[in-house]
Amino acid sequence: MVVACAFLIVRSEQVLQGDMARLMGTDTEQIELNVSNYLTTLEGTAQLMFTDENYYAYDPVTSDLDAYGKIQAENAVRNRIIDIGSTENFSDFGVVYADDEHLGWISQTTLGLFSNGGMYSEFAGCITDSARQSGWAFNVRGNTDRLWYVKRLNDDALLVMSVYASSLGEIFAVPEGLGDVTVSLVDGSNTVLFTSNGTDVGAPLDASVVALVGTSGNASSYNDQYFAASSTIDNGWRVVVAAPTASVMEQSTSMRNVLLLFLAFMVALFMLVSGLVYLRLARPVDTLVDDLADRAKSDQLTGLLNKVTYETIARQSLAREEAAGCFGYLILDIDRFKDVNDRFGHARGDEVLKRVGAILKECCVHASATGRVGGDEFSSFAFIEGADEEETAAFGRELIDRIAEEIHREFSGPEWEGLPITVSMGEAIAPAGSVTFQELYEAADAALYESKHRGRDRGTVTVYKEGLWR
Amino acid sequence: MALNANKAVSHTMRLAAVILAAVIVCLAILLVRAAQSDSARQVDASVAEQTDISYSWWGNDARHHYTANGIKDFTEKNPDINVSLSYGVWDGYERRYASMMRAHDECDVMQINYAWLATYSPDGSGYYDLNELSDTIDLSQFSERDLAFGTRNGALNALPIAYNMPVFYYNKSILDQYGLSVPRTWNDLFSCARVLRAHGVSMLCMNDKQLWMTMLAWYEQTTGTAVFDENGACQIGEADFESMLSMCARMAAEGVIDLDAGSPAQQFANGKTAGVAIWTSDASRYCQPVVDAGQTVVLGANPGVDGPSATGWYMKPATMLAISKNTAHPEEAARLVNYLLNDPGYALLQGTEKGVPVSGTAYRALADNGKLSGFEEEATEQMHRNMDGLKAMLPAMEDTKTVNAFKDCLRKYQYGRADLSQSAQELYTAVQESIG
Repeated sequence: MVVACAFLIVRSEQVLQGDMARLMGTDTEQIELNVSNYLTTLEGTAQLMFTDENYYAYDPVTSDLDAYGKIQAENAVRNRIIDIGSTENFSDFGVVYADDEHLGWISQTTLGLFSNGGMYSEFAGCITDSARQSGWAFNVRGNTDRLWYVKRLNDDALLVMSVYASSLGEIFAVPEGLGDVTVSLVDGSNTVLFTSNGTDVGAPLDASVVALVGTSGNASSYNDQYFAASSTIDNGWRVVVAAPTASVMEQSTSMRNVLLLFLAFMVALFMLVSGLVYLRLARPVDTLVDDLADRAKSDQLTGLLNKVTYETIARQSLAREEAAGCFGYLILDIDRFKDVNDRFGHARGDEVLKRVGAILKECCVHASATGRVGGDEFSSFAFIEGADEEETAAFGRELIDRIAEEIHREFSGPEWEGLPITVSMGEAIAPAGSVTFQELYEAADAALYESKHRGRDRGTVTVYKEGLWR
Repeated sequence: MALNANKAVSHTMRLAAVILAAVIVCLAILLVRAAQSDSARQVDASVAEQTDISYSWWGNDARHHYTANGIKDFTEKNPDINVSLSYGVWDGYERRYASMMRAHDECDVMQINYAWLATYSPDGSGYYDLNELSDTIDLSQFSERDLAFGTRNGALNALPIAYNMPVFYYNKSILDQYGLSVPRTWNDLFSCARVLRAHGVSMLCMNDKQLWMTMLAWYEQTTGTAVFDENGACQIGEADFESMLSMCARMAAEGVIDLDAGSPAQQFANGKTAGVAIWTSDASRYCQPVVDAGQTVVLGANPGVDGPSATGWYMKPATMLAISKNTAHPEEAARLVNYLLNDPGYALLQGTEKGVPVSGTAYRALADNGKLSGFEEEATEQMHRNMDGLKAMLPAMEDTKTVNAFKDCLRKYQYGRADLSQSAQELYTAVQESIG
């Protein structure tokens, strides 16, 4: 799930980046259209100087008008400039003649650029469109606070218009939702004419942005540093929109982090729920099963193995054992146990069974299995590795004696007054691989019978040797 | 076995508590991030709720730049307001303003000329009554006289930024070069002109409105009669206009003025004229280039018949601020007006470019920062010294049609297109028509 989510996040970021690049391209085109419209409007204003030859044809350099005629002609030009020049926020709007004289609003700032003359020739050099005899210019004699438009009126007259570059701030609607966007207007050499952040005017466009948008034409691209797009205006200038990638993808990155956080949260929640379910359901069931299994293997009263389990373990041990040694099979029976139940009740009988079982378990700690195999009958089975028949028989006799001794001590207290508890035991000893389980059991049972027969409260040991039970 | 199970459950519960705490922290972070996103959207919403108002003015490059910077400062301090700008130079602006007023498309806040009060608000209803916005505009920073200049028929139509009157500045380096003193009388001007003319330098250069103002002063000083009475009615006849046109022609013929030499500022800066007659508020624009060229500029007294005289010279608010009577946002417009007039920070941006400010806070801001100096302050000081003899200018005196008629009639006479009588008659008729 984590891998799938991570893949989806990365994939969605890639898709988003592509979409953002296209969005930036579209926004850039829109801004370029706005700027184009604005510049076209300004050019259209200049065109209004051609509605009457009194406005565009006057040439004081070659005119043969007398002084008054010149004044009237100049007044006509001035009035026209006043009429059409008031339609926009122009910083310059005037006519410059070949003799460097001018009419209209040529600002002191502009005049100051040409205190030593050369105004006409400078602006004539700004005409880059030979067909239309017009051109846009920037950084005229180091002035970078305005954009100039020059239109030739006649052989000796140029209409010179300018607007503050800063006024483009109202044209450049900085797109929202694209991070810290900078909108710039650059000329053909990628010199910044205007930026929405108010800095870098007159400086080259950031090289990192140039790497994405190139030096001409329209483009829309991105890399690890920037998203950038450019769109070209008719006069060759370009609108360039750029934003740091981190800024553009800020919200996406934020969302990605939130998603990752959410994913981690969901994984943690899943683990928590799973753990709780396991603890609340699986563990108790396992415990119950284990408990039931234990209960199925044990005798509930004494805690020893029940008959089935006991005999199974004994049979398997007998069949599996390959080492040299001897098996010992002990059967213990409580003498006259029926009388105990009859005289003292089953509760007291159960108490006797528990205590006998506990003694047998304590005395047979070496045994492979110890169990209650009948109502008042117990059994213990052991393998003594490396021991021969005699050694094992001696050990068996010691065991019988210790058990008998423990029984006598256990039931010699005053609470057992009038209730003599004794046990009879039979034990069969046989070398490994010499007899079957049945044979061993029957021999032990026979030894038990022998003990009963001989007066109870005793034990008999029989040893299988040289093919006979002795 | 049961004990072990209990221990396991207890351990698991502790683990669960830790995980639960982590989950709560994660949820808190998610909520915080979500809240941050909401906050960003709210910021966008507040930007979208900006009130758009507009401001128009006329001026030169310096005024355009500092005004734009001031508006930027204003909108930063008032983020709920967006201000669009409309500006230009004086000549075109006057016509542009007239068309905007006639079309009822004027800006919400306007820099206006004093004469426009009579033109566009003869009964006081042409502009918003700023008295109604006195909760926003601090009117206590203005004197009774200041308020009186902007009041028509009881309505406060506009507030003055500074005061203006025609003043004479001279290039003392040129005068010294030819052994001349700063002129004090009309005859001094002619005497100096005779010397300067021989060297291709005119005595004075001024635009047509300043020449008109100068002729009004000359006429009143030499006849004892003001051209316009206190109601703005013309009280002189054709013969009187003949004398004024004749005086102008003589001044031109004898080199006191050069009628069509081009921009007075350029003439003064280039040393082609020894003096200029200008508005007080224009002093730096005209004088600084001369100083920058290493020459000395001095303020002269306004000329009189026998010596400097205040007679015939009038003062007026240099520029005023008004609010459109049609504005949909008077409160926001008032905040802008108050900023432009009374904000100390903007006062420092503006300096004395429009003249010495009359607003108390603006004046103190300049005084406290050592900005009350320079040509405007010097000319304003001279104006205040002569305040007792100065009368308030009547709007009719600078009526555009009147000034244009004066300009045309003078040219026709000067260049032989009409004789003196015809020109005077035409001027008289034009003045009568202009003042209604």
